[in-house]
Amino acid sequence: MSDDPVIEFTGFIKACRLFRENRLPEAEVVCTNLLRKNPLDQATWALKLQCLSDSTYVDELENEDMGLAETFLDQNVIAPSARPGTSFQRPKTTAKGINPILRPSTNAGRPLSGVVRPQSAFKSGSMDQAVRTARTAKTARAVSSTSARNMRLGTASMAAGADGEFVNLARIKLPKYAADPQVNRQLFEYVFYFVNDIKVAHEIAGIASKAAEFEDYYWKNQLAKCYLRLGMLQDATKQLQSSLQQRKLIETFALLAKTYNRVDQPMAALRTYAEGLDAFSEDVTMLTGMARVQEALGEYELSINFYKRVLDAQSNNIEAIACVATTYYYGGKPEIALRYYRRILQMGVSSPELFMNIGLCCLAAQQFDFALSSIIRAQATMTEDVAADVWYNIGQVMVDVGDLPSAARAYRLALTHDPDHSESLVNLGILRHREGRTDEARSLFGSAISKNPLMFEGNYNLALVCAAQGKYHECRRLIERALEAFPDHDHCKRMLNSLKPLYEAI
Amino acid sequence: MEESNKDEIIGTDVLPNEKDDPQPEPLELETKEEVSVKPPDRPPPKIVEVYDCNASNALMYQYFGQRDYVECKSLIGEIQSKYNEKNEAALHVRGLIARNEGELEEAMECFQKAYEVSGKNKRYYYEMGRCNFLLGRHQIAVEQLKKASEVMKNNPKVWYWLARALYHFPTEMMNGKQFNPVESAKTVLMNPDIGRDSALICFLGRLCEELQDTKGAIAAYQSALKLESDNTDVMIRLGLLLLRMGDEQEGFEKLGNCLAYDPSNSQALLTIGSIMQSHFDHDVALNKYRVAADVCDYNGCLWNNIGIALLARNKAAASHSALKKASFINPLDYKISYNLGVLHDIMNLHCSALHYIKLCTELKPQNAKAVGAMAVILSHMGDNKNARLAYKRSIELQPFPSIVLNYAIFEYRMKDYPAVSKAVKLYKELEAAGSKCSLNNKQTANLLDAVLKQYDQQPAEH
Repeated sequence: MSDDPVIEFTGFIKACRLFRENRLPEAEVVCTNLLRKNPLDQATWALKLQCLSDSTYVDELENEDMGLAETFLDQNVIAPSARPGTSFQRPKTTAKGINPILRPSTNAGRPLSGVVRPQSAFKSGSMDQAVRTARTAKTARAVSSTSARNMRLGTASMAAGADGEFVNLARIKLPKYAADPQVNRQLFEYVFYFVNDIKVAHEIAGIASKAAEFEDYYWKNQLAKCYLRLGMLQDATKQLQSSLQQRKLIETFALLAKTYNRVDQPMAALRTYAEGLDAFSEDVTMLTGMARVQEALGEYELSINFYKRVLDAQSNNIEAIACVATTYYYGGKPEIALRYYRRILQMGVSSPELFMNIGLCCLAAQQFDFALSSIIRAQATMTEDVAADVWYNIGQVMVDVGDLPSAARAYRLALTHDPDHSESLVNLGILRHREGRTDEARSLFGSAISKNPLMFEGNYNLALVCAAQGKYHECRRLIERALEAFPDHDHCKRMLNSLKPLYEAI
Repeated sequence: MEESNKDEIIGTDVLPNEKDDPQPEPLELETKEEVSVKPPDRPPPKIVEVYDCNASNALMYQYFGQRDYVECKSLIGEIQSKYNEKNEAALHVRGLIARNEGELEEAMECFQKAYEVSGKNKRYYYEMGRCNFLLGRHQIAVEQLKKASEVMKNNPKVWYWLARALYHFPTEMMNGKQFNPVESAKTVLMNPDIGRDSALICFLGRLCEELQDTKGAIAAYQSALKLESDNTDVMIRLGLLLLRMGDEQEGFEKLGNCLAYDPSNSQALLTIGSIMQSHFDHDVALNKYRVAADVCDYNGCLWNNIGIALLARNKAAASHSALKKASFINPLDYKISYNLGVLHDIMNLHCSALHYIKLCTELKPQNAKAVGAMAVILSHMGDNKNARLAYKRSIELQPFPSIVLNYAIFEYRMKDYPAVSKAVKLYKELEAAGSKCSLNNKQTANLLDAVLKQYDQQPAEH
């Protein structure tokens, strides 16, 4: 065995092998050395570009962060007053769609989902509120049109290029390199992902597409990506549709559906996903996309069915398991939810959120001993960003046990971790109101609303207090806002009807 | 614009410079000069114009009556810019529109202006008082409404709003005696004139209800129903009140009437369902609840009742999920946790049962029934020492015949016969005092009595 000569790769081959083994920094060093010897070596140059862009590669499909400007200065929405069920803004087709009482909603007014995803942050509401939310500690939202993630990447690339940037985009002969099919893809990806200069990337893609005589679906997709980043959604749709005519790709379907979601056309998105499923049966990306859209529309049954299909195809998909579990939990089947959460645990995920969820499921299923140990585990492992939620849930557990003073204490602790935790504020307010400290309760509800103006519970509870105190005008305002969050709330509607005569009686 | 100008100018001719100018503003200036500055030395003008600022009031009122607020506001804007905000009625209507649209500050401003324009007509205090009332400034509202009542002597509405504002006064000591806002509001409303408006009588009924004057309240609601026979709100109030009085037949009738007008009224459905449940008609009750759950499935009390109805039909699992849903919605309702405790005890899950009963006693301490139930559960768990303590505590809080009997049975099992006889004696006392005792209770008591006598004889023989 010792006779075998040890093969030592050198030069470009070595770089290629390192790149294949995904040892990107080492490959990059080798390339740099080679380029120092021969700066005109195009193959090495392309490889280095590839190394750099791969190190900052982000899946463009999952990259759903939207800046404030994109969300609220949005001119792309096709139908501003859509029929119910055809828009994310007016999701309900049934009375039992989105119901903040039976299934709590997120800060942005969306129903709680099994996993945190950036997409679930978008919601109508006022710009004013969004700006205020952006200022709070936890739900920072990028204000500029490029998203938060892109800004982070941008700064990363600046750091990497401390000793002068690898490719000087201002001086490079773009038409020459962009038209060269040997290097243009690498150059594009470098510019798009690493430098994050979408304008130049778009230029490259345009030239390359022209050079390929508009026959290359790859360049059409890249153009669409650029348009998506630039917020030119209609151009993106056009490119993607023409790309699909040439060749059906999962990525193209997903991107097209994403553009439709951006312009608030969930039905078109669902259609695109369905077409994608025809071409690629049981594809996880398509199914997940459909499940997400259905969930955002409040159709939990349909959403769960899609997630179950995802699990048939890919049984370790954590998002699917978590979403199914959440829906079961809020559907009043904690035991089944528990089994799903346990499955996530078996797959090696161990986070405080997961333990908290398991604890809550156990408590709901009356396995008290198990619940306690899980919650203690969650509390022991929690990090600062989830501490408020964990303490809030502990407060809920204390309410379930009947220990109201401890519950109030838990809510207070949640507020020390996150002063903007509006749910804790509301629940603390309810406990104070129970004790007869109405003024304190009033101020707690008030601050909850100022933190989260779209919150149903805060508005509704404060309205009740106002009605009891005879502040009918304030009450009416609050009820109207509560009805915005939950348009079908019976008691709110009845209260509003009883308030109207106070104004309109002659 | 120009046409309407012409309509309102009663005169044969129009000044030439007016014809050229389509804007109404300079026209106003013209009017002012016309009215105020009349130089005597100049030759008198040929044309005499009479301006009637009230000319389009009829149209304005019509728009207002049709709730065409947009048209109405633009008409008012026209009138006001033409007559320099001198039209009192327009100001009044503008204020009413602003109030209907919820712009109270603007409404108050309009009423204030109308007040000034009208030569301080106190009538406008009525409107301002109502705005202040809506804003929660009850003290000011009462003062203004009192001023208004000086002019509007025969209008019961003033008294109504005055009473409503008084109702929200804080309860405090005044001149050495307790100030009762409800009582004083009622005194204000006690006026024969109010019999013409159902809203007024209904409020009087509410006040009576709060003052524990059920008879007065019932009379008030009934006369309100006579005036407005399709008011479901009043029907529900009256029905509930009758039920509370123990007049089940009448109350049921009223609620049934209410359902005839509004078949999906969740409040009435819930009440009717619970009456049926108390008559062991669980199937019909469940049918009613099904309709109610369709309207709002987020009502904790509704799910609680559904759970009990299902339990009565021996569907423990379904009942369990219904009650769990109820407690998810209303975690702080002690009745739901009591029911959950009882349900778990029936399902032989004593640990969970104890948990829920403990939750119930935490939420509502000093509840003798909950403590009694806890004693039963503890004895099922075999914790006799604590069970006895719980029984004693429950009887100490408030002796219920059924709990006393349970205690007697428990002590009989523990073979503490003197305690049994004491408990049975207590039960007899309670029964004699007129507490509600079921037939089952009576039989058990008699049985226990017989057994005890047997026991008393036994030691004598030995």
